Amino acid sequence: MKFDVNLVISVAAILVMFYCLWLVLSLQRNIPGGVVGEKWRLLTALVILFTVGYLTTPFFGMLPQNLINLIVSLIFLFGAIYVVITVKLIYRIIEELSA
Amino acid sequence: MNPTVVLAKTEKGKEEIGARRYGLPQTVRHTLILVDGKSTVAQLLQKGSMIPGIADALETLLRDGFVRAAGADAPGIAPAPDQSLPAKQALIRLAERLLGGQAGKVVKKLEDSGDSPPELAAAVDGCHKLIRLAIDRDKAETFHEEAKKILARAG
Repeated sequence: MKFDVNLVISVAAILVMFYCLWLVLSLQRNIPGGVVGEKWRLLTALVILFTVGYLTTPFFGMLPQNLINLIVSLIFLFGAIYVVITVKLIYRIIEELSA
Repeated sequence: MNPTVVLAKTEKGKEEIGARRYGLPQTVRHTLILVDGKSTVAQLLQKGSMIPGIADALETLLRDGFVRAAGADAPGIAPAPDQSLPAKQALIRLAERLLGGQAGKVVKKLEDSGDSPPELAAAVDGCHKLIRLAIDRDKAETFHEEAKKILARAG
């Protein structure tokens, strides 16, 4: 049986993303609102989106190339949005704590 | 509870109706559904007379921030801080009254604080930041204002 490194990495990525999904959902109860809570819901929605996107990666061999390109582009785009929200949130928390 | 006061759902109350986010017991939830922003406490008690323990349910909804007096902060709704309590206890009561089921971490922070005025002032600042960051920005400001009054009274 041929060892498929891409598949191993994809499965590892999916597992990490499921862990992330569990984290955001379980922590949501502790952050019902406020500066962090308001952004948390958005981050949760993005993590759900990523999980769905990542779940498609083991099937890339069966998908047409243009659909793969679209999925990857969307993951990159929302990944960039996620990073922006996270960086701004960290800065906002620092601002609040130093006020 | 003042029977002439009109009660309205808060954002938290609307959220519970829409998404069942806080897992309220059935009788409390039915009571919340009755609150329409027009009926007084007396009218609600009459409308919900078939709901067992509706008066307690209304108290719970008010205490946990699911309903509030319609319009401004009407007198006779939220109990005023007990002036005879030591400052630390009064602050804990304030946190519980304002934050309801979400007061746990704030109460712990206050309980862990020392009893001297500077220590309590530092704990209040910490709690204000915690509420603002993780619970509710508006309630954070209310907590800060009322806590400052309690600290001022305690000298």
